[in-house]
Amino acid sequence: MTLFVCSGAFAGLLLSFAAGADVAQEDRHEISGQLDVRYVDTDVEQSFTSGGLGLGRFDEDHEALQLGRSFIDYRGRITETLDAHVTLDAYGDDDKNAVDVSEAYLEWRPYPANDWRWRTKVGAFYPPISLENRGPGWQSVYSLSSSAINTWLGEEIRTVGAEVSATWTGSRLGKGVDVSVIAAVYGWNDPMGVVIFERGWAVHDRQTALFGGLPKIFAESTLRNRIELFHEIDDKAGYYGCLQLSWPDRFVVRALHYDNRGDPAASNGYENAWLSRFDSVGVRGEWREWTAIAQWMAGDTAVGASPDGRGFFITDYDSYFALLSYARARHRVTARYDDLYTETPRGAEFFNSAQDVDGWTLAYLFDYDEHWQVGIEGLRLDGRLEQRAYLGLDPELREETLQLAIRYTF
Amino acid sequence: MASGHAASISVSVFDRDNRSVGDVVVTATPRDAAPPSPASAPRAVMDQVDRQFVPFVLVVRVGTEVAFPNSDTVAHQVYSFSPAKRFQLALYRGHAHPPLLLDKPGLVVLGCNIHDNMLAYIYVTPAPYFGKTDASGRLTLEEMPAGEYQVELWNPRFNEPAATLTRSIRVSGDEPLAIPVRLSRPLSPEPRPKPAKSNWDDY
Repeated sequence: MTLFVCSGAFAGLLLSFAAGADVAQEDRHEISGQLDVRYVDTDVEQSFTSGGLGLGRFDEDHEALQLGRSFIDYRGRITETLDAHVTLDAYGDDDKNAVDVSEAYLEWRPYPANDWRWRTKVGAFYPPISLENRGPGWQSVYSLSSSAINTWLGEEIRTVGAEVSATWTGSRLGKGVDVSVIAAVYGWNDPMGVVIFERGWAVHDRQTALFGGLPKIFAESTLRNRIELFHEIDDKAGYYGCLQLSWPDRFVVRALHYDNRGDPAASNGYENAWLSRFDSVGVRGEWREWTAIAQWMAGDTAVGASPDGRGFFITDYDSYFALLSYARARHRVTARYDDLYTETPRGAEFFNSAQDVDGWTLAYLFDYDEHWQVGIEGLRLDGRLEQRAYLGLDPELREETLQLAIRYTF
Repeated sequence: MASGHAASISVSVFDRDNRSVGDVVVTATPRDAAPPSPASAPRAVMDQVDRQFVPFVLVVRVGTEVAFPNSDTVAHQVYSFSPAKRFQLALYRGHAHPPLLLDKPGLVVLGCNIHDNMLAYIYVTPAPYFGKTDASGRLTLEEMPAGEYQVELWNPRFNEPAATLTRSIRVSGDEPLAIPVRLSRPLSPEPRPKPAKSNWDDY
């Protein structure tokens, strides 16, 4: 029922936006978006979206006809070199807001005056990590779900702050390669780490909205049973730095170091600040019809007061994936392997976050025309998640999800 | 001095592997006679089609007015920071822009501030005779008055020593003159990436 009320309201909103786009003043405003309906068959018992430890977005209580991922992506020109960018999302689940914001930022793109190109973003947006979420609305263009690494970005991470990138445009000089240096300072993301600590990595396509939240899996009170990820708690800014080499349309390699400089002893009474740090490396190669992507990420997250200030709990996490995609005419086939791993070197006697899961994804996307797309995806997650024992479940898990998506984009 | 005769010259450009090289700019400057000035400012067009500049290489004479019509439905912000012509031109739907006067010789490298992979070159030459090779690597300049010429070749991917790319020739009588050019060094990587799928991020 909720699904149809939400999707009806959202469809109305979409249509009013779409109608507005036709009469938009010249091209000062660009609106794109997507309506996405799924047919889901899954054996996930209780998804994390319902407060469980299932690693998929849908579960046995959320099967058959479901709202996929519908969004509106707006880009507007404020001045010639200053753009506004807002993405509104709807998932048709029981998040706090039926329609919410996943990204909202200003981007300043001054005209280049030499062989360096400068970009500045201010607002809430994704850090430059994913090499697969290239579509409008930060959607993967290769499969329905994102890899575990990029799923986690969608769940817990948004840069709420400012990012500056400088690119030496060597490819324009016949040198073949562009070199980018990117740095950001941010706040309002102190709870990041809590989801990967409680549940581990997951594989799906749901992005947490800026004003929404995820259900608390081990809720200690019923007063506030949502994890709200985008709060500033310790009044300390975090940062990341990124280096990227790009041979346009052929090869990209990117490395990033991330540190939210959280104070694990800080709390606002509802959420704790987590100290989360990681390193990330990704490569993507494109050759004729083929695309290959691999990303790796490893880091730790810590929470709670401790004598050494490092945290009462410390959980390490790492993941990598390899993706191979073949696109020809209107068809695309993608296969992906994900490795999901967490362990808890400190505090495991109180809560043992430990995951060792293999993920296999096979997806087929068919562009019927420029508006309609059909997608089929099979996903299997196989391995161990120790914290399932706290819910009386077998730590051994095997979750299989088959989805059919019908998408209309505009 | 010119005897009143005219002839054509045919330039053909091949790389080390004998593959034809298109988009090579060829200019021919008379050694002795002053080049005739055009009666009015010549016009040329650098269009924007499917998020690319068309053509990739445009060769014009100094004093040419170049129009940027924008055949795309999306906006472009064309710029150049080349010494021969610095400009910024926002091409929005429904706004016609007067053509740009290119009044200095040199190379004008074009980019788009919205679509990073857009790239094109305007070669602005004082020479009265010029053109560029087609996909088969060939160019014929017709009706060249007899006399001595300095012929120069340019392409963004060339790594050649100047000697390969500059020739002194003599056009005489009605004999067509063939100028085959074989490059001695490999070409640089193609500087123009494929157009990205329209709504994908470039990164």
